Amino acid sequence: MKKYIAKRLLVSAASLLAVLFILFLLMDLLPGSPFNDEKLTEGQLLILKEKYGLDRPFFTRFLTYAGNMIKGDLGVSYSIAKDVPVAELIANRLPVSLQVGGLAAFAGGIAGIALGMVSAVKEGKFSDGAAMILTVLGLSLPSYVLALILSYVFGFRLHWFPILYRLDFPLWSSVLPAAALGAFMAASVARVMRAELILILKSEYMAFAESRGVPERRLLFVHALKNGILPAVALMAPMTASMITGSLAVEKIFSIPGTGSLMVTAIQSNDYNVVAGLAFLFSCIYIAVMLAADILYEILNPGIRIAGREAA
Amino acid sequence: MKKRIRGIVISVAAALCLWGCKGEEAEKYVLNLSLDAEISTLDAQAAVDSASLEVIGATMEGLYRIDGEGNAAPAAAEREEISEDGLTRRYYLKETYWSDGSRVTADDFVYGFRRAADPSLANENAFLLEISGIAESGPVSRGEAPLESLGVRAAGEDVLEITLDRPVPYFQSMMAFPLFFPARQEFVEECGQDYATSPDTLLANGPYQIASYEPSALSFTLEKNPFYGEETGNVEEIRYQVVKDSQQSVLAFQDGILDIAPLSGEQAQLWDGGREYHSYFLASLWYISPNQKVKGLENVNLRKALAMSFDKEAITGYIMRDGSAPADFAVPRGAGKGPQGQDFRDDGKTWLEYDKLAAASYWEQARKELGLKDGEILTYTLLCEDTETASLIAQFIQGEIQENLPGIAIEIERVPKKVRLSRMKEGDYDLGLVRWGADYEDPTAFLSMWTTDSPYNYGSWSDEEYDKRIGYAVSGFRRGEEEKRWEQMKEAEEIVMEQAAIFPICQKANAYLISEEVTGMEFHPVGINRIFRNVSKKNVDRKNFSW
Repeated sequence: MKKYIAKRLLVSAASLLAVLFILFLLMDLLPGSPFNDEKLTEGQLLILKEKYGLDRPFFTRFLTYAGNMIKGDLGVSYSIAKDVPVAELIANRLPVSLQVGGLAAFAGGIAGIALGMVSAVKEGKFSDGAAMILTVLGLSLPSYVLALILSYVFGFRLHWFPILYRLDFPLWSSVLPAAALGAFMAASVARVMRAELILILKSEYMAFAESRGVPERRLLFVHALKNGILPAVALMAPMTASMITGSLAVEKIFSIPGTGSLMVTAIQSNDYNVVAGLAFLFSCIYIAVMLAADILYEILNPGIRIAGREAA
Repeated sequence: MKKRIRGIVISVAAALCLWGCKGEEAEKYVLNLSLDAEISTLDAQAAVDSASLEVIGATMEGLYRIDGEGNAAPAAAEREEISEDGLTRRYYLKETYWSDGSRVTADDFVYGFRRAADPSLANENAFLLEISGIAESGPVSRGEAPLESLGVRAAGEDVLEITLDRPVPYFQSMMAFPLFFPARQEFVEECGQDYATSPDTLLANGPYQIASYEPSALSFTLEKNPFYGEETGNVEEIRYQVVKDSQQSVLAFQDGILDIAPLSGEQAQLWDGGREYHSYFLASLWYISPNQKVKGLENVNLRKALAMSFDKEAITGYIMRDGSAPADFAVPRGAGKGPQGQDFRDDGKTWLEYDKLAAASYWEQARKELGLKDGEILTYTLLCEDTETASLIAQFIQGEIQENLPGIAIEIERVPKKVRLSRMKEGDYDLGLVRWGADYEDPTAFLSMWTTDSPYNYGSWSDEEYDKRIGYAVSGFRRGEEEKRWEQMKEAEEIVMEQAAIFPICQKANAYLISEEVTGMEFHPVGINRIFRNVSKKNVDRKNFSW
């Protein structure tokens, strides 16, 4: 397992470097500079480019950046927050994204599993139908529409939650955005769980366990759930990563100081260092989440050997 | 089991309630504002975006400030002495203080000006030093001369002497712009890289000071600066929230979370006529720049035909809808005051008004002059940005031209702003849809764009008489010739319009919802757009959010 993780990390580091290179190349091809191209004359632009080393050749810039990055220096922002270290910008934003995205993934996952289980157990009955209608809604409503509805109903009309993110009430402010973000995940997980559980509940080994007198609760929560949850975990991993890295629409609607909107602002203003720093961070999160999912997979089902241990 | 679960649920709910009830604050007068983007810096010399400029304008002051009527009024300056030739300006400073209790001295201004010009800081607004006429600012900001040679010095603790290389009639209003604000050398140097990134690394000399802020924050707070000696409104605290979705900011306004909310055109139409609806002009113009190097567009009659063929009122009434007004001129309202305090638009002169019939007859003439055969079609591409407003304007103009000038086909190319700019700079376009805002309060902020050697003259239009007049207005003018300068600029506008060097569309306005609780707000067309110095609220802060 350790060897497997080490190998995975090595491959990840190489792909990170490749991602960074492509990103650098793409940003180099973007028209304009990170500065106010409209008002600045060529001479002024040259002074600015020289200050930030943007006048140097592409490969020199890339190698310097990669070298600094290994040392933990992500450079400074050119335009979004002038001369502020990118690491500091990200450090300000990341906790909020982790909190909102984490809450969305956690609540969405739990709700999806619960909904799927209810549906499967009550297959064909009223609660199954109701749960499936909910999942169809969750899958088909774009998160920004849901965010607007939630914000209007629970924020503006009922005053249960703030309309705009408030730093003094971080958790309370995260509830509506997390709900808007997590709904899609809940719905997807619920559908997969339902399909999987229905098959499992009808399987022979469940009938055997039941005939041996295993209590119903244990049957469902231990025997069925443990097997049924595997496809859901595979589904949740990439979704969790994308929710943590932030959703532009939901962040915009609730004014959440997260990383998603920072990324979009950075791309729009050609703030290369911020884009590269965030892309690096997003890749790390994605790799970490996928690795965690693999490990979870193995823990849940020792029958799956991801590390090729059989050969050992 | 059930009991345990119920117990957990109740205790979690109780904890949330208790935690939610924290932070009850003493009642005070709070102004709740929104911005549509994060502020990029609080460093007065580095700021370029309107959000940063606004916050810096609330916390700092220069020699002058812009008052409620849009005139330059002394701020840190007590009085001014101008030499006979208008090239030396001496400012006697008032006794004003930084927010740490220390005096604001002439040295602080000298340091602020030098920071503005310092090529190692590479400030994006450094070009304004040259526009303000400060001696040696060009060579200093390009790194060709030492900082000390900049035309500014302290002639005593409270006396600042500024040397100009030419008389500048709009000098006072320029001094109200953050680039020219003071900075205390020891403090800035002590803070180093962290200068202006947190409340502890900033000094205020204006009505407010920063109470909470971190770089790229979406919410932050200003509080009254106890060392500010002048009278202000009753607002004790300004809370800023960045709201990028205008629908949400209107909801927040309706909910009382915001006192002022910007409106999009669509929303403005819904609220127009209400007591809370307000609209203010910006010195900002939408226009089309024709590229004279493209075949056909060098013909003045074709240009006139194009410029007069679209209904500007329909654009402001159906697309902008925020109070923007049709523009039949090159210099918008509010872009500078004349020697008698008059506006450039006060004489009511207009050119290139929408007139289908006149446009058609210019087109007829142009066809002959260009030797076009019957049925021959001229096709031009209108380059515009990929924003909703720009796209709608482009589509409308496309339809109008094609309908009113049969034989001209318009294609639209939508690109991101940076692409449009680089294409226009390279002259790689036929017709370009531009929005330009004045950087300083003088008609030359627009008129100097179209001189032959201007880097902003994308369309390569050139007129000797025009260049002569603008050359005089910018650098040839002598003190006492203010009236003549004004006339020369008027004539220059006449030339640029008679030749349809640009096709003006409309002057931009911003629409807002402003709570009836709020009084004393000031909106300005140039520089710092919103000023809160005299803002008062009728009632103390309401609690808007409860559960």
